Amino acid sequence: MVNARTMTVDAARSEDSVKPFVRVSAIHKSFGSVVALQAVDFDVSLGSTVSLLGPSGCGKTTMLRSIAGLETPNAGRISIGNAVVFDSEQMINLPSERRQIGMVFQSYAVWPHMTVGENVGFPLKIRRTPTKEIKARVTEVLSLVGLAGYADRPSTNLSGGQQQRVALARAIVHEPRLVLFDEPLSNLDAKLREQMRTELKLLQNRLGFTAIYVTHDQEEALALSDSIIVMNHGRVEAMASPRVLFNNPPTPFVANFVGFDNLYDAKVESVGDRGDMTAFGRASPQPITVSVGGIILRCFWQGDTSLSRGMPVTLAFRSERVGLLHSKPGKSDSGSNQYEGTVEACIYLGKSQDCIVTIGALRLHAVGPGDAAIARGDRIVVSIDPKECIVFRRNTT
Amino acid sequence: METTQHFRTQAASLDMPSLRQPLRRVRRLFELEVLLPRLAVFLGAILVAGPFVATIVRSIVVDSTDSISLQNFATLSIDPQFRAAVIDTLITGTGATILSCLFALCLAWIVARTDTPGREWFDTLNVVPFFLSPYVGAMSWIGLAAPNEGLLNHFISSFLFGPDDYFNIYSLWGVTWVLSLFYTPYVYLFLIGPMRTMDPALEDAARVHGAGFWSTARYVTAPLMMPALLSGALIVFVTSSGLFDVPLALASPRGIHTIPTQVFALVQYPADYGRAAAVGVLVMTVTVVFSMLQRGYMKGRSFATVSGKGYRPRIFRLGKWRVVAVAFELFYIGSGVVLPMLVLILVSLSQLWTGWPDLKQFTLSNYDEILFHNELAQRAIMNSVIVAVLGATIGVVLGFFQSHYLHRGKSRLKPLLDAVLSLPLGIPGIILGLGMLILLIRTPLYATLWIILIAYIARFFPLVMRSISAMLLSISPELEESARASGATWLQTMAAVLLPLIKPALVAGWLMLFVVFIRELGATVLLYAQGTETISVAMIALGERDFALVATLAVVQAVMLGTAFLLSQWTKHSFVED
Repeated sequence: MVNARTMTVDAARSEDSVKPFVRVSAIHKSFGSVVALQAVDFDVSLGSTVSLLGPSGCGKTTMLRSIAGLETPNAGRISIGNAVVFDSEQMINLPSERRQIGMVFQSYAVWPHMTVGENVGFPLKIRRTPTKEIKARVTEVLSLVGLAGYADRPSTNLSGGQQQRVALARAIVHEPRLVLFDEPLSNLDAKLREQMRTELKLLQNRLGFTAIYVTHDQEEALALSDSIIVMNHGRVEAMASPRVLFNNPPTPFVANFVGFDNLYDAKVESVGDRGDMTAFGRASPQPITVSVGGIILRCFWQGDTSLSRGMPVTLAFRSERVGLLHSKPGKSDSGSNQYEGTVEACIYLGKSQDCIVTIGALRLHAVGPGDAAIARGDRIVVSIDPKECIVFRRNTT
Repeated sequence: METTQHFRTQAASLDMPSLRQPLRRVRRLFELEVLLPRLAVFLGAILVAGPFVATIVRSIVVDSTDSISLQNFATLSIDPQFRAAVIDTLITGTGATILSCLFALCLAWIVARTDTPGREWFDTLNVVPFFLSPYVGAMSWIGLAAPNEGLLNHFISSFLFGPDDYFNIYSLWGVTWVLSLFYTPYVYLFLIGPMRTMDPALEDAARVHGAGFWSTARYVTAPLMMPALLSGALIVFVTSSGLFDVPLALASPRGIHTIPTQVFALVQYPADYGRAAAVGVLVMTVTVVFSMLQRGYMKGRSFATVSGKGYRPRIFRLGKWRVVAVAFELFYIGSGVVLPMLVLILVSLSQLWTGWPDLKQFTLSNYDEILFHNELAQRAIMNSVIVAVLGATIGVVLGFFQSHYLHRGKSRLKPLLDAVLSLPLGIPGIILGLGMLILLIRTPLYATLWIILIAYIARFFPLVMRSISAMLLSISPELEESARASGATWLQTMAAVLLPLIKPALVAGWLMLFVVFIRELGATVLLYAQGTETISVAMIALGERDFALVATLAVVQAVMLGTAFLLSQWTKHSFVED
C-alpha cells in the first residue's frame, strides 16, 4: 500500500513536470486586413523562462497581450495552469483581472498619481489584503528589487531604472505563477540594461515564477531564457534552447537574427561522401562545395536529406568568424577556405574593426582584431572555416 | 594693401573698448529684436495694470470729499441686494460648473474611448457652442422655453398634456442650464487631450494586476483625469460666474441679480461708481486667487501620462449602449446648437412670434429691415466688424511678441510677467469694462470705438499669448539659431523660419479673437455710446421692442461666428496636411 501511494505521488509529480504550464494553441489574430498572428503554438513549462524574439511587427507583443487578456485573438486556445483562459470554440475569454498574472510593461506604466508603495501594493489592495499585510509585503518586495525605503516616495521623478524596478515589484508582489514581460529593458541605456538583465535572472531563479519575455534583442533573449521562440510575420519561425539557436539556427531568418550577418544565395557545386554514423546516433555532416559569387567554398551539410549538384541553397557565416590574414599561410592550414580579396572599407571600433572585403563579385563582412593594420585598398587573405558555415536548402518555387 | 587696412581698423576697434561698449549697449536697446518684444510686454502690463489700479483707487476714494476710506466696502457688506446677488452667483456658477463637467466627461469619454458611430463628427460638433454667443444662446432659449411662448412649452402642451409653462427659462435654473450648455466645450477641450493620449498601459496594468472595469476607473482613470477636470472646473466656475450676458437675458427680467448684473445696475442712473468699483475689487481678488490656485495645482500634478509609444487607448465596445451614447450626443448638440439655431431662424422668419411657427406667415421682411433699413443694426454690424478685425490683428501681433519675450527672451522676470499678463483671463468682462470706464472716462477716448477696442484687447490678449506660447514651446529654438548661424538677421529669421512654423497658432489665435470680439457684451455694455453700439448691444436695444428683429440680428451674428468656426476647422485640417 505504502509503495503504491509513493508511486502515485511520483507519477503525479513527473506528470506535473511534463505537463506544460502555459499552453498556446492555434492562435489567430488579425487587425482588419493585417494578420498579426497565424497558427501560433507553443508550450511553456512550469518555472521556466521563455522569450518571444523577433523584429518589430512580428506579432510577439500581440501574442503576449493575448496571453494577458489585453488582446482578444480571433481563434485558438490559451490555458494557464489548469484554467483555460481563452478558447474561441467554447467561447471562453477570461478578463485580464481574473487570469492571476503579473506583467511588466514597456513604458513601465507606473501610475504617476500614486506613491511607489501604492503602486506596488495595488495588486494586493485589489485582492482585499489587510493593510498591515500589504505594507509588510510591499516592504519585502521593494527590498528584493533594490528599492528599500522608497515606499513613501512619489513615483514621478524616478529614473528609468527605478521605474522599471517599481513595475517589476508590482508584477511579483501578489506572487503570481506567471509573469509577462513586454520589452521591459528596451527603454534603458545599454549599461543599465545589462545590469537589470542579470538582476532579473537572479530574481527569477530565486522566486521561481514562470516568465514569458518579449524582446527584439537577441542577446537579452539568450541571456534570460531557457528556451527561445523566434517569431516572423506572425508565425513561429523556430523554438529552441539559446545554445542550439545560437549555434545551429534552423532557418536563414533565424540565422540572420542571431548574428550570421553574411548570408548568400548559393548553388551546390559538388557533394562528398557522408562519413560513418557518429556516436550520437545522427548522420554525420556531409562535406559539400557550393559556388557563390564566382568562388567555390567548402562546407558541411547538416541536414538528414541529401543534396545534389546544382541545388539552390543559402549559405551563412558570422563576420567575426572570418579570418583576415596579410599573407597566405603554409599548406598546413589547408582545411580552411582561403581567398585573396581587397579591403573596401574598414571601421575602427577599438577592440575590433569592421571590414567590408570584396573577393571578385562577392562582398563580405569580416571582423578583424582592433590592433591589426588594415587599411582601405589593402590586398588581404580571407579565410573561412568550413565548420563555421551553415547551409540551408532553398526552395526556388 | 587691403589686408593691412583691415587689420588696422580691427586694431583700432580693439584699442578703445571703453568708449564703444556703452554705446553698443544703448544701440542694442533699439534693435528690433529687443525692442518689439519688450514693447509688447510693456503694453500688456499697462493694459492689465491700468483698469486694476483705477478700480482699486476708485473703490477707496469717497466721492464728495476726495478722502480715502473703506466706506464702500462697509456698505457693500451690509447691502442685502449684494448679498442676494452673491448667493445667486454661487448657485448658478456652481451649478454650471457641475453640469458642464458632467456633460464634458460623458462627451469626451464617448468620443475618445468608445466605438460610438459618428464620433469623429461629434468631436467637431461638441465644440460648436464654444463659438456661439452666450447672449444669443440665452435669447434662443427664451424662444424655446419661455413660459407660454416657448416652442418646447408649446410642443409639450399641444401634443401631450398640461399647461404651456412647463419650462420657465426666466429663473436661476434657466441661467444655470444655458451657462452649462455654453461652458461644456471648455471642460471638453481640457479633457479630450488627456483622454486620447493617455498611455493605455496605465489602465492595462491595473486590469492585469486584478482590477476590473470599475476598479480601474476608480483607482487609475479617474485620478489621472483629475488635473484636467479640476482645471476645467475652476475656469468654468470663474468665467461663468462673471458672465453678464446670460443673467441679463434670463434673470434680470424677473428682478433676480447676479454679481455682473448687479454691477451693471449700480452704474445705471443714479450711478454709484464707488460701490461698483468695490464690487470690482472683490471680484478681481477672487479671480486672482482662483487663477493662482489653478496654476499652483497644475504645477504639481500635470502628469506626463503620454508614453509616446504603444497602442491607442482601449476602445470600449458599447454594444446596445451605443444607442444611449448617440442619444446623449444628440441631446447635447440639440440643446446647445440645433434647437437654438432652429428657433432663432423660425422667429426671424415670422411676422409675429407666438410660440409656434406659422408657415403661411413666413417673410424675409425682418432681414430686409436689419440689413438695409434699421440704422442701429447696420451701424452695429459695421462697428463689430471693425473692432473685431482690427482688435484681432492687434491682439495677435501683441500676443506674438509677448510670447516671444516669454519663451525666447532671457529676462529673469519671465515667470512673474507670465503670471501678470495672464491675469485678465478670468476677469469678468463687465468688471474690466468698469475699470476701463473709470480709467478713461475723462480722456478723449471715452465714447469712441477706441475705448471698446482697448477694453477688448485688454481682456483677451492673454488668450492668444497663451496659445502662441504653447506653439513656441514645441518649436526648438535651434531652428531659429541655425537660421541666425547661417547668416540671417533677426527679421529674416522671423519671416523665413519662425512665422511660417507658428502660422497655425497665429491663424487660430486671430479667429479666436475675432469670435470673442464679435460676440462680447460684458466689456461693451458700460463703454458704448450713441454711435458706437456693437451687435450684442444692438440686440439688447432691439429686444425692448421686437423679438423677431433680435432673432434676425442674432442669425446674422451666428453666420459670422459660424464662418469663423468653419475657417478655423478648415485651416486646422489644411495645416495638418501641410
